[in-house]
Order: sequence, then structure tokens, then C-alpha cells
Amino acid sequence: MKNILIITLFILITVFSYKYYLSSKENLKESFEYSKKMIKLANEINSLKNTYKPYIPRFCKKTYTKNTITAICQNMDKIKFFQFQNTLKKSYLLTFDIKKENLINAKAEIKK
Amino acid sequence: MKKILYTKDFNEKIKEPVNVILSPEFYWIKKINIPIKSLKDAKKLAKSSFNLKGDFFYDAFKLKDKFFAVAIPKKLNLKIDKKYIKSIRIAQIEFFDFECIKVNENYYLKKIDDLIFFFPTPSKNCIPLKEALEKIKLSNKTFSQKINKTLLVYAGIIFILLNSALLIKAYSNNLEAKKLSLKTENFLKKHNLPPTSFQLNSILNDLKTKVKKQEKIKKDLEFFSKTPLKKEEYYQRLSFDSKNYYVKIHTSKNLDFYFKKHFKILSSNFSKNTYKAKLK
Repeated sequence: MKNILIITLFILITVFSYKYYLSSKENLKESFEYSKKMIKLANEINSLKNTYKPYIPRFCKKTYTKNTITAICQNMDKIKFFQFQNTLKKSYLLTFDIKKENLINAKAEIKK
Repeated sequence: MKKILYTKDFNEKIKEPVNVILSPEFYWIKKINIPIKSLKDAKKLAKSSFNLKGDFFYDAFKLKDKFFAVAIPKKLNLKIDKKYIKSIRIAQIEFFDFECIKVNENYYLKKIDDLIFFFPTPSKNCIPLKEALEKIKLSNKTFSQKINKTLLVYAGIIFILLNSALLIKAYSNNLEAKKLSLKTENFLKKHNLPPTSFQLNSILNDLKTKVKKQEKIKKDLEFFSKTPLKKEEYYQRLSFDSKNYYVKIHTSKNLDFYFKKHFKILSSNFSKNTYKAKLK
């Protein structure tokens, strides 16, 4: 009788240990999935953040504010304007204004 | 409860609980002649008193100020259903008070120098087994539990090993999960990102919208660059206020037909070779 009680106790403790082990395994699996998801989201955010980077030709006058850069590019010939077009292509554009008289003058507000 | 002397020739069919007394054929016994004081010391000496091959259970006991060592095989293979065996004792202890017992016509239990042996030769003054069994009062010294105990010890060792392995693995899993969580937290901190997936999703959706809007602006600019203008025609002004485009083009034709392919024309005007429009 005593032996049966001891063996029953052994079995109960083993069942408890096994359940604890399974829950820890599940916990690890969930942690792994969560970490994987978070890192994927973070990488996606970083990749999107780097989609557009401020590009301003050297001949342009730059003014910095908290989140924006204002580029004023004056008296551009065809070659300079070609460089300014890269600003329009590569930067995160907020506003711009391009005027042509004899030469081209432009102002663009881009995100930092 | 019935008491039986279990000999090698035992062939009785047992169908009720019995107290088994093993005949000397089933165990090895030795009188410990070394001067020892306690039973504890005798038990320590029990195993070294014999030089036996096989799986034996060793023990010691005291009878009338004398110590005895006993070795009983762990596997007895008694021809009695286990459920009917209530206890296992040995003839040495139970029949110690008798000098000679007649087991049957051919065999006798005889005490020689305090040790009980199984003999085929008859002797005088032997009492019949039945009478001896009736007379004896069973001792407290049983061996069945101790023989079972070895099994319990093995089960215990397996139990401890199994549970230790499970608990160590569980602990290592929990530790690994914590490390993983810390690693993720540090990764997010390094990139100045919030710690919850809800916040990250919100940032991601916001960024996706912004990138989509920028992609549209780039496509719009491409569309402007493909405006069908002649050599002497040119853009005088192109501006964007984050919502709408304003265009002023020196041209000989109204360009509504072209811009309406891509934009919604909010207002437009064509006069004196100049086309002006507000586009969305």
C-alpha cells in the first residue's frame, strides 16, 4: 500500500514536471515567434525609413529646420537642373516650386 | 492468516492470503562471530560475509544476543500468486526455538550451532511441521517489503533522473526565452523603436502611407516630364504645395486633354500662349 502511494506520488510529480516542461517549451516557441515578428517589423520599418534620403546639390543654399531642409537653387542651367532633378527623384518631397525665366530657379522643402 | 513453510517441493495451490516462511534452501545464512555491538554494525558486515554471484539482498538480524547475516536472492520465483503473499519470513528466525522439525517423511529442519538447515536424514525428538507452525508466533522481521524496496529504489532513481532532466530542460527553455526577449528589446532600443508590436505596426502603416504618397509624387513628376511640348514651348512654372500642383506653361495649345489623363483639373486657363492649371 505504501509502495503504491509512493509510486503514485512519483507519477504525479513526473506528470507535473512534464507539464511544466511542455509549458516552458511553448513559452520558448512563443518568444521565438514574437521576437521573429518584432525583428521583421523593425527591419521593414528601417528599410522604409531609408527609401528616401535627402539629396541636395552643392550649389544649392540649404536651410535646416527641425524636420525639414529647404533647398534654394538659383540660376540653374541645363546641367545644374539635371542635378536638381535628382533631388526630386531621391528625396522625400514636401513642397517644391520651379520657375523658368532665362535660367531656372527652384525651391524645394524636403524631409530630413 | 495461514502460515506456510515454502520448500523446493512445495506444490500446494494457494488461493488465500498467506504468510510465507522460506526454508533454508532459499537463502544463505551465517552467524557473525566477530565481536560487534550493534545491529547497525552487523548490517554493514552482512554483504562482506558472503562471496556470492548473482543478485542478492543482504541483511542482518539478532537472535538471542547473536548476530546473523542473511543473503536472499532478489528473484525468488515462488509458485504462489503474488497477491496472496502477505509477507515473507525465513525459517531461521521463525523456527529458531525448535531443535528439529519434521517437514515430511523425507526432510527435516535441524538446528546445528544456532543455524537451521534442511536435512534428508531423520532424527529423534522432531516435532511435525503442522504443530510447529501452530506454536510459533510470527516475528516482525519480514523480507518481502525489503525485496520490493530494491525495485522502488530503481524506480526512484529513474524518477529522479527523469524529473531532473525535465526540470533542467524547462529551466533552460525559460532562460532561453528570457534571453530572446532581452535580445529583441535591445535590438529595438538600438534602432530607436518602441517595444510593442502594436506601436511598430502603427509606425509601419504610417511609413507605408508616406512612401506610397512619395511614389505618387515621383510618378506625377514623370508625367509632367512627358508633357507633349514643341521645341519653343516650355514650363514657366511647376510647383507643389503638398496637396496640389500649379503649372504655368508657355504653349500654343490648351493642355487640359493631356493633364486630365492623370490628374483631376481643379481649375485651368489658356490665353495668350500661356496655359495655367491647378491640378490634384
